[in-house]
Amino acid sequence: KWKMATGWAGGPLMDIGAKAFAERLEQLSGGRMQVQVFPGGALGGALKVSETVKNGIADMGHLWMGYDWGKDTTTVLFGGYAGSFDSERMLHWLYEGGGVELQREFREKEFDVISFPLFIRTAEVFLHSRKPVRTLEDLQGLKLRTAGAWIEMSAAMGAAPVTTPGGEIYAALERGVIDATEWGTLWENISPGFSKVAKYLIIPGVHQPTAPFELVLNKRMWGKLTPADQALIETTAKLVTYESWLKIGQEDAKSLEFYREQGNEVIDLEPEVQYEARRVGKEWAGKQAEKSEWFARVLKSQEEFEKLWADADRYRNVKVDGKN
Amino acid sequence: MSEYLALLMFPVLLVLIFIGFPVAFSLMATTLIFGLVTFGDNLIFLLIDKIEEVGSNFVLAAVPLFVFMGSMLERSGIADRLFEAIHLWTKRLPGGLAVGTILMAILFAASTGVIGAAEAVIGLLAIPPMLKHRYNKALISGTICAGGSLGTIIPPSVVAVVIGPLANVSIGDLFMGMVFPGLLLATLYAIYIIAICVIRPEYGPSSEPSPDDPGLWEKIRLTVYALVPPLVMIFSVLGSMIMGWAAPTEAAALGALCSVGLAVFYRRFNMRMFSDALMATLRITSMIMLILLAGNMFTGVFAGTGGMMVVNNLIDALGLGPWGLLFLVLFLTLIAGFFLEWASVTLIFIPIFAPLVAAAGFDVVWFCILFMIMLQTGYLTPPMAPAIFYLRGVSPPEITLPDMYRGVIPFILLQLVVAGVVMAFPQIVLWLPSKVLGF
Amino acid sequence: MQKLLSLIERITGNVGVIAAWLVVPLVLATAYEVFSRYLLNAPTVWAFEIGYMMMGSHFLLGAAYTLRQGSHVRVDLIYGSVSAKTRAIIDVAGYLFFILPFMLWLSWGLWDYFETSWVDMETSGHSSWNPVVWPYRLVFLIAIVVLTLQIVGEIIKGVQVLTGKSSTGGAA
Ligand code: NA
Ligand code: NA
Repeated sequence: KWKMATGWAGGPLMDIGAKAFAERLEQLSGGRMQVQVFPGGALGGALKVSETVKNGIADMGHLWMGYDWGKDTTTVLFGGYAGSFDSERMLHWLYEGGGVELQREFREKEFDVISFPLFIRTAEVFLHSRKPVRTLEDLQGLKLRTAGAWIEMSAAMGAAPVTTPGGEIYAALERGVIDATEWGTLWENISPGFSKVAKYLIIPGVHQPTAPFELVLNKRMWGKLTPADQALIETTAKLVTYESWLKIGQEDAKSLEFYREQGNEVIDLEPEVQYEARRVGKEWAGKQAEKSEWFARVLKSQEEFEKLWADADRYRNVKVDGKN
Repeated sequence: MSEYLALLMFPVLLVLIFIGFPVAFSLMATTLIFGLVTFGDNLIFLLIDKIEEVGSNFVLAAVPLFVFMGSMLERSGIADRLFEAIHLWTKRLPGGLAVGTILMAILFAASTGVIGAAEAVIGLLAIPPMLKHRYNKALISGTICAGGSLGTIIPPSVVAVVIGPLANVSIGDLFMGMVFPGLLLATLYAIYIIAICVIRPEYGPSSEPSPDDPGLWEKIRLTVYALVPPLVMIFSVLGSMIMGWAAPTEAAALGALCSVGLAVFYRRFNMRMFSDALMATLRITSMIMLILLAGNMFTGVFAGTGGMMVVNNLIDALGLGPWGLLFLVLFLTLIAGFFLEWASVTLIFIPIFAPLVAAAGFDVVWFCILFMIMLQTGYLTPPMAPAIFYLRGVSPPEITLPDMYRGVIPFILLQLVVAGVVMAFPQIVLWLPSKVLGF
Repeated sequence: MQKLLSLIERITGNVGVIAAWLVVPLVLATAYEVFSRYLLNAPTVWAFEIGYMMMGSHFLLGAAYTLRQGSHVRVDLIYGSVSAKTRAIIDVAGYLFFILPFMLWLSWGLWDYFETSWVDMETSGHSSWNPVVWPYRLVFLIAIVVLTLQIVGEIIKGVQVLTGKSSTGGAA
């Protein structure tokens, strides 16, 4: 029976990510492969899952690769950032555009773990905010709580990003210590309840148009598996990734109704903010690529993919006016 | 089978603690023995990871900050004057100083969510005046431990913040849901203190009126003089949070800064006194935090050895009805609280229990509040009672361990009473969130 | 022995004083963050990380001093009622067989932990300040090494009691 460390306390990441993988794997292996899932912090630190797995404290782990950006900023490209494409394209890049292979090689060479995509988020909520935010002007000096590389990018857009410990975000938002916070997608954000103390719900999450998560496996444990079992794990991860994508799509749609009924005002960001976020994201990526070979390599792959898909919306998306 | 090894960790820990080896080191020794069995050489990574995790938890800065605040107020004589002023008014109320301590505990509970921090500050401030007025030592201990533990169940609460996401419930619902149970608990504490001091006047001696008593105006003057500094303190902590200037831990820093300002203002500040306060802060903080760190290490090994599976198997094997399940879950929480600190119990139990309780048809917010009351009870319950360990760090040696063990018992019973009331009347929890939150 | 003991206790004491004063930057940095964010609408990028580093350094570096002062709490129901020699046996056995190996191993592990972050110039990733982590990891290492020394000191004190060279023994 394997141990799986995660970065999660609960919620969709746990239920339709880590635990769903454990259930599917047990089912598809006819009960041969069993995984016990641990909440973040039970085995190793919630933000240190890849290390916990590399060091053999856990056999496998479920995490967001971006947590490791202090070790290598390339992780941000795999985890999604303001310059990423949407989740549909991300899935295509990963599974058809060479992303999975790059991810596997990068993680094995730089972090000494085996890695596959597992679970994918669609665009997040941009902000739960006490103030309405529509334009770039509204963003100036806005005290928004966030983490990771977006702190730098949002500051470049004129916001005043604040680092607040996870446990104090709610109290800080309630009292107006911060104006706004980002967290996860519509569905995931129901449970923490930020929308109960912040009236405005600002969409879409330009800071995180998509967020693929990953399964990491200890190399020694991986090496002991037969090729058939290795293939089974890889296929199961892919299946659960698709399933998570479907589930989130449906639940997000229902969740928007929930927020409306609760009395939140839903605000769409003006296109100027959306374009600017992407521009700032791309600019940031360009700088990183100069410093890191891996970053440059992954970025190039993503840019080539983007070029290939440049006209995709023309033949994939039929324009509808939303009335009928 | 090997997961049952996890259960052996408790007797080993208990033996070490009871022969008198320091608590933090007893936890580490147990961690070492069982961790080597489970993880072999890899254990070292888990240990380092826990240092990193506890060492980068900003919220824990509330511990040194509050302890420092308490040390400064104690040394600047502000605490003394405050309690003398309370005494002026309550000296004919049985147990008046202890009731005053509970009131102060509520204020501190409302300004921090970190257990240990509130208890240290209340202990530093309230123990000397109560000793001076010859309060019963068991009553003093019980009052400080119980009052200091209110931080769990009066928002903001770090425990609630940890439980919320684990149980998939809103932190806001938990914060609101705990308000009435928390106040009910504090009220019962106060009623108990008055009652016991009426029955046994020597517990909290009230003095007879004497001709030396100051007149009404003099009393008011003395009170205002004594109350202004604590009010400034309370405003700097609680007010800065309510006004939206500072997040809870930041508010603790403002309080610490303010305590220095007050000492200067009252001309009690000098380098000697300041450095004494700093060294005292270090001893108390380091003691508290090392137990917390060692407890985290212990939990990592307990979970890794299969502790969570054991609990799961146990519940599966019994196949109980909804209420039977609920009682068993709360009972196990209580028992676990005898040995482990709250963070460990929460991390191990909530992911197992919350889904079971939800499936049994109970309201999960309500369950979480009950769970927190049980946690708080476990926090007070010997032998592994962090409340008592922390109290030892701030109390003079004349208050002995048996005083403390005796002192907490009535308060533990009161907590069980409140748990029963919350169980019987879920509306105590559920009413407020439904009224206050939303637009 | 006595010389070694006083050397250890001097080190522990000095490190303790440094640890104790770290509360000052903790208070100042955190209060400044509130001031700067609320009044100047300009949150700092560094106060959060400085905050946890000061907190962590404070209690970790202070652990040895706290041990020296006998402030790591114990349950003395039994411990308090046995002879000084029995107390010394409990302490020496516990420190020698469990805690000394534990701390030595931890020191070795933390050296590795520090070295990796030094070689890779790893950064924290906790905020946009994103400082290199090796200095803080060096603090972990120093703290545990000093605590290891003080454990040795406690063992010496215990042995002195057992060999009749001291009547008071270790921590009260
Ligand atoms: Na509280
Ligand atoms: Na207990």
